[in-house]
Amino acid sequence: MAFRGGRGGFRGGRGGGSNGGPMMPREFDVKPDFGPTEQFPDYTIPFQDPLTSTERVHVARFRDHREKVHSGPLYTVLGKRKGLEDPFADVVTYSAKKYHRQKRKVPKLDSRPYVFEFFPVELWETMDSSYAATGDRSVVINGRGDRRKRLLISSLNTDLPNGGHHDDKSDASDEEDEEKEREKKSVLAKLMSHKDEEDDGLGDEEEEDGDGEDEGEEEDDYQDDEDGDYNAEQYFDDGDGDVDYGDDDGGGGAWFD
Amino acid sequence: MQQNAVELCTILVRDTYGELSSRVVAALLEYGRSTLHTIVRRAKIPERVVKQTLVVLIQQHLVLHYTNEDGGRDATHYECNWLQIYELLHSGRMVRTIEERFGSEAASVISNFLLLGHARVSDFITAYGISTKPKPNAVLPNGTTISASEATGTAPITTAAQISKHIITLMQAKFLIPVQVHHMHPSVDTENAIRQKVTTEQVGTAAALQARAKKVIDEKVAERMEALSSDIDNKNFGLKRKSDQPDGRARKRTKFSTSLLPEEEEWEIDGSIVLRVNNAKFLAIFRNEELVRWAESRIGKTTSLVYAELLRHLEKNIVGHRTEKGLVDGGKKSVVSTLDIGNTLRKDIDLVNSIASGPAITNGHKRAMANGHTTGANDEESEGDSDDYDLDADSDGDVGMNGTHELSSAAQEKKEQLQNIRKHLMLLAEDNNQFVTKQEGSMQYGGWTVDTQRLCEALRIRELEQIVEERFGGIATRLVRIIKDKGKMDEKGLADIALLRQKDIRAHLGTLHERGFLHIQEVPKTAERLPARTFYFFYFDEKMSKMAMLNDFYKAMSRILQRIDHERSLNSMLLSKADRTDVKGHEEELLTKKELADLTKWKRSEEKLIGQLMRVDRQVMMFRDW
Repeated sequence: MAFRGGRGGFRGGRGGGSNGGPMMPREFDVKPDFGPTEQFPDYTIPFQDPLTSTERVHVARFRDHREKVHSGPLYTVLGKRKGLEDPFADVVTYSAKKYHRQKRKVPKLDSRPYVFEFFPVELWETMDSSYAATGDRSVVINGRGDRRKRLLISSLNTDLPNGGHHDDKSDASDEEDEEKEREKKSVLAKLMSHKDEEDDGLGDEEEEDGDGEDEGEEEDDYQDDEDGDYNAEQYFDDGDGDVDYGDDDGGGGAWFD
Repeated sequence: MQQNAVELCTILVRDTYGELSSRVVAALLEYGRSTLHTIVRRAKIPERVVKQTLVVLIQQHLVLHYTNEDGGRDATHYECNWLQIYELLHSGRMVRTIEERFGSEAASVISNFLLLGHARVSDFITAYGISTKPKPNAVLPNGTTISASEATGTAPITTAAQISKHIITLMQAKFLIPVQVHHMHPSVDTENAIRQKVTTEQVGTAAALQARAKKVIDEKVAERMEALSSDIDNKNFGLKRKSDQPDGRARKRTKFSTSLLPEEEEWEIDGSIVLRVNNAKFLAIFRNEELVRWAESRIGKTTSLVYAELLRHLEKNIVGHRTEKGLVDGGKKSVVSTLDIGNTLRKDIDLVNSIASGPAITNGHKRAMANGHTTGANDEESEGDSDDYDLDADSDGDVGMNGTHELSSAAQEKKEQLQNIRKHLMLLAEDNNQFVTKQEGSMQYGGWTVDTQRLCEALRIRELEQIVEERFGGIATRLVRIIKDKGKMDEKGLADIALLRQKDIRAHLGTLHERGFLHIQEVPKTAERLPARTFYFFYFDEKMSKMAMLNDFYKAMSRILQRIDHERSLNSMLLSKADRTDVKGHEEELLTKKELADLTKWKRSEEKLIGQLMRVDRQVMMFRDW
């Protein structure tokens, strides 16, 4: 891949002997070719060996980890600049607000405790707003006993999403599981049960727990997704819950100019 | 630092921590060490946001900082720690390694430390009890339910005692190390600060001899730098003994005993220390895995398992310091005895039937499987060994394998196992690459050391030749090997040795030179320096070709990551739908058939690309770190 496209170099590059070989000036065995080089020269495309199961596990874990960082407080996505949004595609829709993961423009810092002595003093104020430049350092270093902040801990995904031996076989079994699940829960019941979501993983799990209890209550048959694609009820049913999205990035909007 | 590496790091940070961080990192990498205001100017981001981003990056150890405290006003400089950025690639593999060795609970500890950067132990433990709740029936994003057998840990961590036990284990194995203030500073600054201090101390005494004073200062600086890092070498640094233990004895015992188990109860963690993940240790482990794979391809599966066990014993002592020269294991060479390996080796490995004994001297033509009791095998082993060894051989010969063997004592079995392990180790030692070195000495059944540096050198050469072969063909490989062997050579001499015509090798030499595998020195015959009257000597410079290759690797890796980005943007509609909080985990119900198929396809292709990334990463580690 990266091996094509060399830098020019050694006296005209390939063939190298246009001004005679270094030791035998009389021998002109290679005719210089001054024509344009082919734009897409023939090239045997290397094929990747299939990933081994260990590699698949590593990849799965890597994606896991990245996913965790992305859902954590430190991941930032810069939106488009003010005035450059696409008036058609970038309209904030109801579902986008409600169901899409909130994008941060600036990292959320005030959620966890810090080890202040590891940071330069000029950043202390940023890390903890209660620290002013003139303030007492010891307050920050020792932490105020009354309200301690907590680290955000996420649990490990004990299973490997597609690790080890994922093949047609295990896929099939997944499908079976899914079939069973589908019998139990209807689509609508699902949608109903997902009332107000919070955007952290914790909230999700609790929601799931809630799911387990009221499963099977509503046995409406919406199983054929294909033709029941649009269903007004599904879309505008649960607009009652008021969720506050104003996470912390309210002030972060205007700094791009 | 190479341009391609800069690009790779920027993309990696964007991939993991988002655009904002990557812009700050790009500004730092492109312009080098800067102050806050310079970063603000270069990244074109407001100061408030830059500050926030810097906090993130420092927390994750991706940026180092140093404040000059002397002079009128303090100036803080920031510097990017690009090797640490590169380590982002290893996150998955690190978690997996711990999972394999210590179970999923410990892996989740490591994973959290990776997410947090560094954290105070007390904070960590309090947070743990609260935010992890046992999930009754966890369903994964792709709909697979967790089977009980898959989840290795029995119960999720609930108590502080459990979690601190895991942390202690990981600390003793040096997967977690305490962070000290000097870890947050660039090492140059730390050294300068020490040098300054030492110089002021020395000024009064040895001002007379300038040169000598300089040397003394250098020595002292080196000494103190060493002292800084040696804290971590201490096995129980950051842990304190439970108060009931008498001080001196406990320390002595930990120093000399080999097994960790009895001590585990005696140590408790110092809540005020701050921990982070030790990347260098993981690098050492990845290296050992690579060596095992190599041994497997050279000798065989069972032998490689024995080798893996041996390396695992050596790993215990590795802290791993990363220097410019690569990974330094620290401390003196440690010897592992066959007995140690025997104690920990899994019992279900079939040691016996994996070696076919060669034709022994006594019964020349007969090639039999060594079952541990054939005379041939015994002859082989008994040379140069202790008495009980011979005794054992005799009794074995009498009893036979399928007779009363099952009734023989445990000690007998143990002895047999050790002999078999020894045989495998001898195979490793006798290999051309000399995977292990036998230490003659006091240890029963022999002790073994591994010269990793030399082995990695051999590994590198092998990989390099493979790459040359793949890219330029067999003749080019032949040329490279000849040049490496003979030193500087001109075209004519090369052609003679390679048994090829000059015009046949010319094109190859040109290509190899162009791609940075060979280099040319010009030696003019006359004063005019005419090209025609000049010798051109080809030579191989390992360092330069390594750089050229690393450059290629970095480029390939950034292209892979960019490709993933591109693929993602092609599927952006679908992915944003699949990422919706209501769809996640219920894809099967809420997505159409086509969408599901596309999603699977995307996942597969991303997996392939990341897999390729990891493969290139292996080569990068080989050439840069090991």
